[in-house]
This record gives sequence, structure tokens and C-alpha cells, in this order.
Amino acid sequence: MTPVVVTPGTAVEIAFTVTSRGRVFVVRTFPMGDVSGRLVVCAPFGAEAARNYQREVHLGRRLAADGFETIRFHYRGAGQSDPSPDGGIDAMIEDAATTVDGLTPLPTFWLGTRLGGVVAAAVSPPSDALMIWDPVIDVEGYFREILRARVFSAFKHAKPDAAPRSDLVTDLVRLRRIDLLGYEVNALLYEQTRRLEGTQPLSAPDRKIALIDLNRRGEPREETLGLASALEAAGCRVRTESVEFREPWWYGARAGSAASTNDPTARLLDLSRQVILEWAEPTR
Amino acid sequence: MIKEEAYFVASTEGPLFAVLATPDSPGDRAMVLAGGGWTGSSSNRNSVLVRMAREVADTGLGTVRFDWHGTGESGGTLDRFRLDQPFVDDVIAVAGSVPATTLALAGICFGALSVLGAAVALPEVDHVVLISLPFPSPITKTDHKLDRLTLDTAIRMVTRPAVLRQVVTNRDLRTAAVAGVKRKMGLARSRPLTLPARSVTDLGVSTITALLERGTRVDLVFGEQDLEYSTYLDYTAHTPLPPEVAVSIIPGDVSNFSTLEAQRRTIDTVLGLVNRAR
Repeated sequence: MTPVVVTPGTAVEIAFTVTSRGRVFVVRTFPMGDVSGRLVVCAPFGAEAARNYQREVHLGRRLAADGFETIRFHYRGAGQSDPSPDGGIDAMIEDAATTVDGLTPLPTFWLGTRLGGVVAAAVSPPSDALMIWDPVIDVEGYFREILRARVFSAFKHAKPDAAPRSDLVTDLVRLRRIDLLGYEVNALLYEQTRRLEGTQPLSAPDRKIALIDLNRRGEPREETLGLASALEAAGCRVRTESVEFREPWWYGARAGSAASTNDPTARLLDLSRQVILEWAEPTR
Repeated sequence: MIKEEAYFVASTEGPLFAVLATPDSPGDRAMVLAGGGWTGSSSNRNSVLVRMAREVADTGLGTVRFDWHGTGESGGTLDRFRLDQPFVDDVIAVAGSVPATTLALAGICFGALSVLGAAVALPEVDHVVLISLPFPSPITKTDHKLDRLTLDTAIRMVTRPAVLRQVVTNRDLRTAAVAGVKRKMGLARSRPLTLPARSVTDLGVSTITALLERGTRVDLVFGEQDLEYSTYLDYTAHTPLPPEVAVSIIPGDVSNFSTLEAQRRTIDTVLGLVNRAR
């Protein structure tokens, strides 16, 4: 596709990247002038991806004004990409690796949100800086949190009997796939993510990592602070931040594009841009 | 095997992102698919619109899906979707980019309103499929939810500790809960809730009649438990639609595609309507 100017000074190029097991939808947002760095975005999973979509688009467009290109992609099974081969996180990791394969060398930064943070951590080389929005640290806790939406949904649709009776995660493993508000959650997604827990090569001496929690309290969680300490002990340069967010990840949707300066999204985008520019300073 | 091509369409609000899905042997007809305002994107929840576009194209009818201005990959800005301000111009701009001489238009909720407005301005449109088309009606979301509750479920829901705490401290909730239970028990004399009705552009009967008169086929699709179906029944009780309008009712709740089953049923219904219109 011929690049198109979507906002002044910023162009967009979109392609379906063909892999052996389906096509991956890839979007490249870049400045009209010189490109000094790259951000690769690994989206979250399911309804969270829809919730986060415009934030990722806007961050890419703002960074283009700073001379960065941003690469975003849809996992197979989501958005415009082909169906997932099996619904697991290994395929999502494969999609991220396919997307960056063969790109011209540039100072590269990674952004992952929620489960996308696990993907970004698995794919990014230890020499690249990594930012995670609302990191998933306790995998079982994450799945329990998202599956809880099933209980709310059962009541919302006036079907309390449809609410799971046993432990939510046990239910997922037993049933193998669950319809979570119109998204399929596959037991393989849980099992493969569990297998990755604690084994990811996040830490490398001097690696720059930013962990940004998004929650109602507007303070970093205990588990995020714990991860930050562990990474610092391993020699990483960790920045821990938080932004007060009241939006639920699985309910509702965010379609609007205008973010006022007091909006949590605007604060998150400002903070993320500032971190990336600081990281990039020595290389520019 | 279909081919897909991503492209941008110029519009007054900014470039609109679109994907054209072309079958092996494209004919001179194509379908424009307009999503709802829920996510604003051309994929919609769980890529339901992408799957619909591909499956329709698989039957030999090319499709175009697109992101509304200010959402997804499209340019422009948007604060929120309003049912009294459909994006008719977006649909007209995308329709103008389609390599076909006759068009079918399909839209979901906000997209159905926008498609209906656009169809009138586009003489090449010979078929419109309106999924969950909102009609102006005094029925609110809260009314609709209360109507679907059985008495025992209503009692079980309002007696949960967390809800009770809120009901005790919030006067509006207290009034709504009492009114809901009263209605279920047949004790309420009139509609107790005074929440404002949604503001919806009334494109209904006059527009649909105009389309039928020029020979355009009009299909309405509703989930039988959807709010939009309730507003349709309420509206058409005093303003009947012409008998030529075909109405398909899908069992369950298809609004917002909040189950995989609702997504499948809606796609199958649209495939059936597309085949029947050939």
C-alpha cells in the first residue's frame, strides 16, 4: 500500500504480512522526514485490545512528530489478521517476531500492554528498552481477573445460573475454551502463559525497563514494586510509574479519539512519550 | 480464495481506512459493511465484522469494511458516537471507492442508521441490511433490562451484599430497585423510571418507504432480546412499516455481539439475506 498522510507530517503504511500459517495485519506509522528510532507495540488480548487501540494509535502518531516510527500489528485471531492457529500465546509471540523480522536496524523500544507485555518481553532482544503498561506478573491472577467478567455477564444478562460454580481458572482448564463476552479464551493461552511465567529473559545488565501500572489507586502495586526490585538487583535500570485509571478492561469500549489534558489516557501518553524520549536521548 | 487490499478513502473528516475483500470472480455488485459505534473499528468485537466481510466475499460478493473517522486507523477526530448524528458522509465516501456498479449496504446499530441515511443519497444501492437499527422510543436501557428480569432473579440480584450496600446509600438506585420489583409484581401503576430516552435520528418509516419505492430491498435484523428490538416494536406499534420490509429475528441477545453464538448467528443471517437478494 502506498503510504498515506493521516495527520500532518505523519504517514501510515498498512500491509498484510504473509506467514506460513496465516496473514498478520501490520501498521507502520512514521514521520515524513528522518526516522531516528522505532517503537514496536504488542497489544493486549481480547476486549483489552479494543479498549487500548486508540491509545496505541495516538502514541504512534505523537512519536512520529518526534522522529520515531511505530510498528503495530494484530495477533492472528484478532482484528484484521487471519484466525489464530490455536489460540495460544506462542502464536502471538510468533506474530510479534514475524512483524519485526527483516526491519532495517534502528534503536528500538518495545511497548506491551497487559498480556502484550508478556509477548514483548519474550520477543524483544535484551539490548532493547521495554515499557509495559499494567504488567501481568501473576498469570493465574490475571486470568482469574478477566474470567470474573463471566460472572458479571451472567448477572447482566439475567442468567445467574450461567455463572461458573467452581474456581474460574479450573473451569477454563476443564472446559478448554470459554466464551468471555464474545471473545474465546483458550486454555492453551493460560497454559502457555503459565509456562513462560518467571522464565522470561527480561533482565540484562543496564537494560532499560519502565513498568507503568494503571489502576484506581494511581499507585504502583506491591507485585510491580517486587518485580522492579528483582530486575534492579539483576542490573536493569527500572522506572516504576503509575497512572490512575478507573476504566474496566473488559467492559465497555473506547471509540473516541479526543483526549483532554486531564484525561488519564492523555497522562499515560505524555508519560510514555517522555520515557521513550529520555531513553532515546543518548542515541539521537 | 478471496484477496484483501487495505487502502484509504479521502473524506471531509480525514482519510478513512478501508479493506476491500474481492472474491475470485468479482461481479459488478459489492457490499459496504458499516460497524457499530461500540468499538468504532472495522473489525468490531472479536473481529466479527472481518469474519462477516470474508464470508460474504467467499460467496462471490465483494465487501468493503472501514473504520469510522476518528477511530481505528482512520484520520479525523471524534468525541463520541451519537445516534442522532449518524456518519452518513463516511458511508457515502467509502461507497464511492468501491469498484462496482450496484451496491448493497449493511450496518450495525449506529452503522445501520448511517447506512440508511447514505442509501437514500446513493441510487446504485439495491439492498440494505439494517442490523439492530435504533428507532426513537421512550424505552430506556434500564426499562429494557428490568423487563427481561424474572422476579426471583431481580430479588436475587438486589439482595447481594454489595448491591444492598449501594441501594441503602444511593437514593436513585433505591427508587429504581423498588420500582423494578413493584413492576415485576404487577404493583406499579405506571412507568416508574424517568431516565431520558436515547436521542435517535428518526430515519425510520419515511426513509425506508422511499427506498422501497425505488426498488431497493430492505432487511431488518434484530436479536429478540435486544433493546433495539424493543424500541422497534414500540415504534412500529403506532407507525407500522410497509409490509415489503423483511424482518429477521435472531434468538437471544445479539446487541454488541457479546457472545460467540450471537456473532455466528448474525453472520449466518446476513449470509442468508445476501443469497436471497441475488
